[in-house]
Amino acid sequence: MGANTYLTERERHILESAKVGIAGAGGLGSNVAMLLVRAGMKKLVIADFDTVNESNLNRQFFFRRQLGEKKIDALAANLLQIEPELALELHDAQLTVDNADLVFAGCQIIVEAFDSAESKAMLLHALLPLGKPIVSAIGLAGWGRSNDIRVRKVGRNLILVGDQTRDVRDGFAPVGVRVSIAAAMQANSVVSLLLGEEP
Amino acid sequence: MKIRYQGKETETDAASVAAFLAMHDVKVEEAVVEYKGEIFSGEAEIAVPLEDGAELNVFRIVAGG
Repeated sequence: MGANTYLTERERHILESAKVGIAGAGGLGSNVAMLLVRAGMKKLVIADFDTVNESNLNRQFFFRRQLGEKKIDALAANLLQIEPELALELHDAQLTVDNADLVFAGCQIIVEAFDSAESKAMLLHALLPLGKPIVSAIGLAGWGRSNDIRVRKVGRNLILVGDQTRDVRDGFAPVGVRVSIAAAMQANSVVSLLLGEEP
Repeated sequence: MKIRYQGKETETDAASVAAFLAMHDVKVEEAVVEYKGEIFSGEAEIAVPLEDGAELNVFRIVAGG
């Protein structure tokens, strides 16, 4: 039995069978992973090279006792607390133009969940030409303006979440209240795409 | 000619997508460029001619996550 008991047999089968990649296990990625597992997904490929630090606790799905742990290990432990029967593929690696496609080779959908603009751009430019659906979040810093965060389909295979404006480099803090909205919209887009509906 | 840029009708004499983006200070490597419903990412791709009536959207990649 999956974590989500509200699904039909068909929905459960689709979500449990699908494999989704998550690039980054920070404010976006850790929350997207948590929501996808709660939605009933079991196969996730998660890549991150960072460790949990105190500044992450305002928005990321980690706990104080996990400070200093690798994010992928801490996240895996937390996800398994929700659903013990997960098939997690963890990559303690920095994604690059050269390895991103290999890391996510078996995934149906890839979630871009980085924080730096350079990393986001690298991943999008590396993976969009491959044609797989990419769910990216751009413009989610600060607080308020919830309704400015939207989901748009760009081109054939990019689902873009965010306001495309608020940049941490312009002084807007990365705060859980708004990052979580974007993460939830990313996860909602993934579930919708897998179930054959509009993201 | 007139194109639709960021959802608004825009007059331009740029001959190519690359020239139009340069006029608007868009760095392709820091943005997602959607032209005629397709995503263009490389320098070679954006060298295509700009067509009258075409739709062009630019999504600047900002930091945060």
